[in-house]
Amino acid sequence: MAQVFDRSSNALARFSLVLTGVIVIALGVTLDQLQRSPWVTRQGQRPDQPIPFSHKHHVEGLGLQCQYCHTQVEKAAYAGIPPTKTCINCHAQIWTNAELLEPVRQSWATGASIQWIRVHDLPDYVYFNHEIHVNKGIGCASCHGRVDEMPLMYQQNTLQMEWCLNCHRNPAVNLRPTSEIYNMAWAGPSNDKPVWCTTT
Amino acid sequence: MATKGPMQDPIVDPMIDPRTGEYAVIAPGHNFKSVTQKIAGIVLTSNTPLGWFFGLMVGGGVALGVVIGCTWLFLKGVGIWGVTIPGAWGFAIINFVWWIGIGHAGTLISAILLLFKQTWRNSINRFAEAMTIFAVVCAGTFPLIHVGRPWLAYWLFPYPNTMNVWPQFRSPLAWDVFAVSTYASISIIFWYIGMIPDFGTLRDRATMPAAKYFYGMLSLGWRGSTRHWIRYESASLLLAGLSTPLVLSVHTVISFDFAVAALAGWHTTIFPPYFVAGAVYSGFAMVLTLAIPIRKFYHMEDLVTLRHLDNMAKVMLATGSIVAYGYGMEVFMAWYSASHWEFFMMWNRMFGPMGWAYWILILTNIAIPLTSLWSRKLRVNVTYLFILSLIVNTGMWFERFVIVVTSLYRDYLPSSWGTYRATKWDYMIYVGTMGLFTFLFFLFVRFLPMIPMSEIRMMLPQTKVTRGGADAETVSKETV
Repeated sequence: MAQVFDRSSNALARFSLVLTGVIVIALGVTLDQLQRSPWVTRQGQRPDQPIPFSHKHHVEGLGLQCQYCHTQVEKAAYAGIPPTKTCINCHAQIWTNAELLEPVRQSWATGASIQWIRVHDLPDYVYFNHEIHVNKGIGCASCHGRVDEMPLMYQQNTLQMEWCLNCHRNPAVNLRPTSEIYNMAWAGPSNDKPVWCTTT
Repeated sequence: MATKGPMQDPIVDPMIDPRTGEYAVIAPGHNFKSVTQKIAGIVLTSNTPLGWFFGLMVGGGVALGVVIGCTWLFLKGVGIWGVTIPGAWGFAIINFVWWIGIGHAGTLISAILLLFKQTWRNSINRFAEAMTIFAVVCAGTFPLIHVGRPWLAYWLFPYPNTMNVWPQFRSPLAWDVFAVSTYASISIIFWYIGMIPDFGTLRDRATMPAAKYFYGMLSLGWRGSTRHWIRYESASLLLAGLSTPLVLSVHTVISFDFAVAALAGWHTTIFPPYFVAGAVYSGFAMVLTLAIPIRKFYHMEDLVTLRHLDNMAKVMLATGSIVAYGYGMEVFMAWYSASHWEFFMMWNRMFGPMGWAYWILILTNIAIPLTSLWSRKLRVNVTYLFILSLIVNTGMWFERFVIVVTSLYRDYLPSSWGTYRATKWDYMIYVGTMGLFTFLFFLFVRFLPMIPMSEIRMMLPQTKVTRGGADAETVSKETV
């Protein structure tokens, strides 16, 4: 009677064990990537805004302070997106014919809001408060990255709960003087130096 | 059939080996080949009985209740069930505990009776283990679907996540996850390891190439060498030793779901052993419910003998008595505790609006079985045992109903008293799981060896080594 399985089955059987291990590892990697990969967290993705607003140009190029536009950041939970009026302050006179700015002029003329696309979008069960962070010594760049170097806005950090908790469990490494909050280029203190913490 | 003889008479009893005086477990007249042929024949036949298709279709049809019920449940939410705010646990938890309980007899038979070297377990352990696994499948459905957001059920597992959140390891419901998932995996492993030698037999006896490959694959190259058998036996014993504390702890953990709570009627220290006893009680009832039709339709009366049924009924009698003691203690403690709420809970159980459930429970779990199972005549009366097993299964369902519902719907604050009324969706999913169980069991009966051939062969008188060479001669003649 012929054998049910020929000799090659030995290799197949051994390989199936290896394959099982590979599948288990692959599954683990996949599941990890499903919660951590930038594709899932949307880090570094630049959505098409109605106007390709450049933070790089306005901050690095023109030297605007962050609060000029995001006026509420020290006083309210929401930092706020500037209204069309803020744009028109300058663009009523500058680049008045630029096609790029047509939506701004439209908005100004009609009163309809510009439909900006939110890049840092936390779920609504998270009650994030900007004011407390800014007033307790967390700089803009710590969470939002070097916005002054972003031609188009993107999300620098994961905004995941573990990222929040990592800082809340050990905030000292990210604290800075309140005078340096809006200094995008401020190099944070290392662990060697005593961390100065604001008392306000 | 030989088993029909008057078993109590030692002289004419065919179950007694005339040479050794030992009481045989299986009917005489079998040899290695006949046992193998009989059991393997069910699997390897090309002539599937029509009743099998019928049963599979009925089971599958009823199992659609789970599919339909769960689909609607996921679309609409748990509000389609009859759960309310005082009684937020209903059929889902009752059925979960009921199914898990049923599974426990399978492990008791395969593990605990193995540790006690009870040879009568051999004929029934395979389908008792199958019963365990399918019951756990049905049970495992409920914890997953009775949560309001079943798609987040994976949060119950401790895995490193981006939330830095872990399960609350102090909740018995989290222990349930570990208990049931461990129980399911160990049961499947134990079941599978037990089947490996039988898969070898099926591989060797199969004529269809597909069947040869299928069973050959499952048998993992089993050759039955001494080295194989030594390791097989130690693995079985180790797994039995592991499963025994497991089976006791799993239902204990499930009893903790209630006993850890502060509710009168739940907060009772007797729950762990009393739940385990109840689990074995209902589990053995279920084994009987399955074994009696199987031995009839597949003509297994000589392998699953009246002695098996008698022994199972005795285990039921013993565990049923423990359960009865539990009921008695609950009543006693309700009085002895001098706790107003405990007293009311018991009064409400007996004479409240759902008192009927308590009296059904007393009737079906205590009054009928524990009075009749003392009689040997009734213990070997197959029809009576079958009806009784159904009665006990009903009773054990009512036990969980009484514990869950009557403790919840009237508790400390009278302003939060309510009632509980199951909806058609509750019934549909419950009946659906019975269909699922039946469906899986029919598949098992057709495609897997439902009685462990290798273990039955070990019990044949030919394997007994006695003085003289007579038996060795018989063995060599009858070896397949």
